[in-house]
This record gives sequence, C-alpha cells and structure tokens, in this order.
Amino acid sequence: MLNLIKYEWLRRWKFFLAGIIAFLAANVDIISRLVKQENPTALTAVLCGILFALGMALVFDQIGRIYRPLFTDEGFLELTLPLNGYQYLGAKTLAVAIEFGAVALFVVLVAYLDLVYINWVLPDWQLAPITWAEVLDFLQAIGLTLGVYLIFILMIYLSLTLAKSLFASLKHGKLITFVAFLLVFKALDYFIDCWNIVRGYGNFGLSLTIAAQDWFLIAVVIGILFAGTGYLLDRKINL
Amino acid sequence: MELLKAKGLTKKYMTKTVLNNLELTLEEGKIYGLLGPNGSGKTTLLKTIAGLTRASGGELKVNGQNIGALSKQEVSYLPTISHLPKWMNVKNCLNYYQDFFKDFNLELATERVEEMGLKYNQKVSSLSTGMLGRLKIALAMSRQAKLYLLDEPLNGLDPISREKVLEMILKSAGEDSSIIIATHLIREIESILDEVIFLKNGQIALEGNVDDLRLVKKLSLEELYKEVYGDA
Repeated sequence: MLNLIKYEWLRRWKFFLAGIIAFLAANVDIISRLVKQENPTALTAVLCGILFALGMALVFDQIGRIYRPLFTDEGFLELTLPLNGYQYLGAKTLAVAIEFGAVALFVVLVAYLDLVYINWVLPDWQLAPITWAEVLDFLQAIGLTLGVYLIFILMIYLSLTLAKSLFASLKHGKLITFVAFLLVFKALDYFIDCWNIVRGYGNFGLSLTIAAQDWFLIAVVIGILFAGTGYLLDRKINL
Repeated sequence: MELLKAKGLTKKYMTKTVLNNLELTLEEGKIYGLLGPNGSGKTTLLKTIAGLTRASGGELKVNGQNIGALSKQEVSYLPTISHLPKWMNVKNCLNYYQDFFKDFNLELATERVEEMGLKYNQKVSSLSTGMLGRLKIALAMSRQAKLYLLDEPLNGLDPISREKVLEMILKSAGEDSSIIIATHLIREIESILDEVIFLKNGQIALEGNVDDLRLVKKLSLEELYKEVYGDA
C-alpha cells in the first residue's frame, strides 16, 4: 500500500518542486515589497496566477489518480496488483490527505518565517504573540477543511468507480454516474443542513469550534464513501 | 494438479452474453492456447481471471482462491494494450514490479531486459511497439507466478521480437505453473502449445491435447481452427 503512495509521488516530484519554487518566489516578492512598502507588480500577479494554476492542477491530478486507472490502459497494471479494493483506495486517499497536510504545513511554516522576518526588519510592526487557543482553532480549521476536501474527493472517486462497476455495461453509464454524483451531493447537502439544525448551528454550516459530534459526522461520511468505493473496486469492477 | 477451475462462469454486458456458462479446468505445468475469433470471449476470460472484470455468475478459482488480492499474487497478466505508465523508464518498471510482486525475480528480469536489447534509462513512452512488447513480456515472465495470462503477446511484433518472446515463454514454462496464451497467430505458437481451447460465443467449442487433436482429426491447429470457426 505504501509502495503505491511512493510511486504516486515519484511520478509527481517535478510538479511538487515547481509548486515549491513558485510559492517561494511569490512569497519573497510579496514580502520584499511589503517591507519596502511598494505596490505589487505584474510579476507578483503572474506568480500568484501560476500558484493558483498549480493548486487547481493538483486538485485535478488527485481526481485523476482514480480516473486514470479506471478509464485508461494504466488500470491493467494498477488493478492487477495484489491489493484489495480498500487497500488500493486507502493508498490513494492517504496520499491525498498527506499532500494536503504537507501543503498546509509548508504554507504555515513559510508564513511564520515571514512574520519573524517582518518583526526583525520592521520593529514597529510588533505583532501580538500567538496563543495556544489560536493554534488550536487554526488546527481545527485545517482539520475541518481536510475533512470536507476528503469528502469531496471521495464523492468523485465513488462516482468514477460507479461508472466502471455497476453502470459499466449501461449505454449511458457515464451520464447516469454524473446524475448519481449530483444526487449523492444533494443528499449529503441535505443531511448536513439537517445536522446543522439539530445541532443548533446557523445557515453557514459548522462553526469554527467543532464539537466531537461534528468530527464524528465527518468521519462517518468519509467512512461510508470509502467503504462504498472500496467495495465496488474490490468486488464489482468492470474494466 | 488443478490450477484453475471455472464452473458455470458467465459474463453479461446488458443483453450481450460474452461468457456463457463456461466450464474449464486447467492443470499445472502446461501451456494452453486460447483460440477464437474476435468477440469469442478470450480477452474477457483472461480479464476475469486477472481480476479486472467481475463475472456475472458462476464460480472461478485460481489455485483454490477466489479472485481477489490473493489470487492476484499467483497470476501474472500480460494485456494486449500498453499498460505500463508512460512516465516510467525501464529501470522504474523493474523496481515497480519488484516492489509490488513478491514473486518477482529482479535478477532474472535484469538479465532478460538486457537479452532483449533494452536500456534502463529508456522511457516507456519512447519505446517502439516491438521494444515495448519485449519489455512487457520480460516483466510478466520474470514473476514466479502459478499462472501466466498472455493476451496476444505476439501482436504488432516483428519476426525477431516474436522469436525472442516465444523463447522467453518457453524458458519460463515450469512444472508447477501454467501459461495461457490467447492469440490469433496460431501458426507461430502451435509448436509450443500442450493444450488448446477453442472458444466460441463464450463457450468451449473444442479443447484437448494438441498432439491428440492433430492425430485424431488429422489436421493442423490452423486447419482445425478453420473447421471450428468456418461459419463465423
């Protein structure tokens, strides 16, 4: 299972390196202009544009990690590996989660170094020290974003797997799969709305302070999507 | 000893039945030729054994195991298409097989890759059809699997590559493993086959020992093929 993650990253190390370089370049440009109190230039905009494009490319690439084996010839190798459907999906999902965590950690680390640098060169800009409560809030926000992102990715994985399992022999299997995706999305949306009402939240979904029950809900949704997709990959696949 | 057993194996796509209540038993230590015209169910049968497609009905066991992660450890599958990731080079492919398949013999594979005239830093995307075919067969046959499934291994290969591939298949044939070769190129593989299975409309039209069939029917395999599928 870990080998699968290894090859996912071996394949993309140049892409990640490009992302790190673009991010650092944009960061250096923005911080140096901030310190000199200059306006951002076209270069800043271009660097930010590249970063946005790389971010979007990563999302599409993460979707492609299930699309490629199911819809292209690569599946004839990956899906004959001695792994069951759950191990296979687990490796793919774990890689996505680790990448999300690594990106968040990298961004936070660079932002922290920026703050230290700004405090050093601009002593007048002394910032209030960060409290543990703020750190915890921040970690919760990251966890919540990761949970929601994993739900989104797993919903797409489930839809793609449906197209190559239960609906594989249907003439309009892909269309039916898309409708199924919308239905799952709608059902999940409705379920979360109900949950918010039950828990007494407003219309904006979960609050930043997340109760244990909310974490449980996220875990259950991820678990259901994971188990369903893993089962289809393991037992119903039709390449 | 029995290596593969299919009982009432059926595969349906909506209204089309590709494998129709197929009964098949394969034994260890033999090379089987799986013959049949396009659409007879050869590739579907191999994909079902490899775990890429699930049967709609019936039972299928490889070495006593249902099709799944365990059976995949015992089956080495060579598809007709190019399944190796294009970003990899030859060295990556060897490492990939080494990392995933416990039965992969890296030393043997390295030797075979060199025999086949492949270079380690060559990218899969830059290999010609012949070279890619050689790499695919070198990887698949360097596993010490119980069952090798070769789907059209000679397709698109030049005569020299074909000869090398056939040589490698023969070298890999062991007493405790079996090889199934699905192909249209009967004349090329006739000499290496022990048994032959003719598939027609998802069922076995004829099967048996190649020498016995030749003797009884007084026909070569190619002539027998024409006789079985004359109306196809």
